[in-house]
Amino acid sequence: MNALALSLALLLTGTALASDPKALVESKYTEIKAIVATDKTDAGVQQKVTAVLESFTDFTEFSRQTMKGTWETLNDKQRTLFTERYRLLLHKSYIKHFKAGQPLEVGFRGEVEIVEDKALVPTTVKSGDTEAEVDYKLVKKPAGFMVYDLVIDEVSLMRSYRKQFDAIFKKDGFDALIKKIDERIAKNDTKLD
Amino acid sequence: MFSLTALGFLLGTALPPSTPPLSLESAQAMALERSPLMAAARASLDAFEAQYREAWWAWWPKIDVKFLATGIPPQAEDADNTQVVKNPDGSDSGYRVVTGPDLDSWNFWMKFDITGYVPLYTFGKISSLQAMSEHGVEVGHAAEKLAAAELRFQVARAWYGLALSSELKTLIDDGEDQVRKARERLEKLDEEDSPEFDQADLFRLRIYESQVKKVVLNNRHLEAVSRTGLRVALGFREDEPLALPEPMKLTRVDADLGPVNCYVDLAAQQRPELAMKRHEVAVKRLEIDRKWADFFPDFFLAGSFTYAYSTVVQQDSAFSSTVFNALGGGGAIGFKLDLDYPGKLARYRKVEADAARGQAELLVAEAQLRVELEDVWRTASEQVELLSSAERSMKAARSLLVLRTHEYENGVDENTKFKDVLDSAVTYVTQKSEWLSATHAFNGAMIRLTRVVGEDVTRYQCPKKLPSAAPSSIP
Repeated sequence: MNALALSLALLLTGTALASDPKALVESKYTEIKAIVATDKTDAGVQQKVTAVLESFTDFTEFSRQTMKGTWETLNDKQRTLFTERYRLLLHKSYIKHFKAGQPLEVGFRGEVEIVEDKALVPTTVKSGDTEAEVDYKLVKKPAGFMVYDLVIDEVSLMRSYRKQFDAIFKKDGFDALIKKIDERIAKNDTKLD
Repeated sequence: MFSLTALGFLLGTALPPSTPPLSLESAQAMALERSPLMAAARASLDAFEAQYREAWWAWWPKIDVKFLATGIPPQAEDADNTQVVKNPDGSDSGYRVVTGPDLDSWNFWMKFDITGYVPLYTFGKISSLQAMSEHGVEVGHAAEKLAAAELRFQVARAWYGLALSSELKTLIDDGEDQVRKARERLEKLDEEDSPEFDQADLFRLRIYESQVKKVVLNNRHLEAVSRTGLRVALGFREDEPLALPEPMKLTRVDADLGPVNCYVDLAAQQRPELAMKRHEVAVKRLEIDRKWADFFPDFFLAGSFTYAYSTVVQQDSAFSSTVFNALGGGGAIGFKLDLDYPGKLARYRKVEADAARGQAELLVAEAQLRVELEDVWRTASEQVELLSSAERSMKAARSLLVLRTHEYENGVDENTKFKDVLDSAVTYVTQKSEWLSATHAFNGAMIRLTRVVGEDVTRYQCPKKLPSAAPSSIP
């Protein structure tokens, strides 16, 4: 009986979070902060943060928005392949900056904007003396709100890739694009550090 | 969040302070306590208050009490200055004849005098003096307020200078660090003869290094001047340790700028220089009343009482007419009048002219205040816009750096080169330093406005609608 009640409570909590974009983002930040604070290695932190990222990001929507204008020309197999590769690229570019023991403070700027099935959650992330405005764009799916873009200091991750992908796709085609993405994923260097 | 690390190089790490550091407010409070400027202002006020108390005692009787006592030394062999008067039969008649001082033994003499004087009617001389002393105290208060305002201004100016210098130093240090890393990377690519090596990047770096050097020198100058300014304002000796926050943060003064007329009216009431001038003019007008009263006599009641006693009788000499034995007193009503009317008239005309000059100077000061306020308010107003513009520009430069860094680090098309990142980093550093300078200029304008108005404008809320008949003589 207790287990049933607990499961029901968790289900209700999960549903509530999924239907409230701000609560969702806040809960994910809480998870990430706990991981960063407790895990001892960078690799461990990045692995766990990846799981958190996966849990509230809709990579299909991310891909569809990124390939806006050309998504319709892709077949299901290409869409699946692109989504998979793009997901790994996003992991690589996003996750590598999380480090063990790194202090992280999160605040919310202003009100959450909700227009039809889209929502924008504006946050401020502070790590040490560095502060950045991070806005989450979410779309409402049957399971609840899911992230489809990240805007950091007014730079949209999705739009940044859209410009690059579109140029490659139009010039060299889909296979060349996948090849370029694979090459970037395979590169393990950080040029500026 | 990927940008956090990318931007990390642009910011520094704070070292924990060993002693509690000052804040702007505590520094200003300390300056008010320690500065000789403030001590001088307080001493002046004490002097004015003493004059005020003296003026208020002018109606009270002036009583002068004098007591003298002395021994009279032996002057000759015969100490007894009387001689026995004998009866014809040679017996003592009981009478003594004073024959002169007792020249053989010590004698005693004392005298007690009390004199008094009460002004009865002075034709306004005393009341003018009292009113003048009241204005004198107000001048003292205004001088104290002026000294405090000047000190607060000096401390705030030095403080914001140091804060700007600290922020720029952090920016420069991180910029230099980034240049060093970029140089190491380029040198490595050069050694490897890598196709990624671009000679132009190396030249760009050299230009950037030179620009950084210039900024470093300018910043050292600002830091040194501001630190010395703060020490002087705080009354610190050269060897006294000055605990400041490390690093100091420059934040925009939290205040909205009201309409200029709001500050004109406020300054008319609060500016200490104007208050001083107004009271000085009032004193000069009262001086006219006092000089007018000099044409008329002072009526007074005077009295005196004397008691003198000595063991010897009167000893007048060519050099002294001291009373040796006396008891008596009396009182009288009188008046005194100086008949130097030509001199009085000249002095009266002079104070009239002084008052007219003071009034004219007050009008000039009020008119100059209007001009000064217009200038300071315009500067502050422009800084509000410039600051907003600089902030937008800095944020755009930051976004550009984030974008270029992301494209260079994570892009798939290889179109973004190292020079793009470097250029965007230089742009960001430039824009951030301009934004910091604009913040500093805005804060400077606000503290200057506070100084000119004589009231902390950051805490003053201008009324929504100003009263139409505001008591201001400012044109």
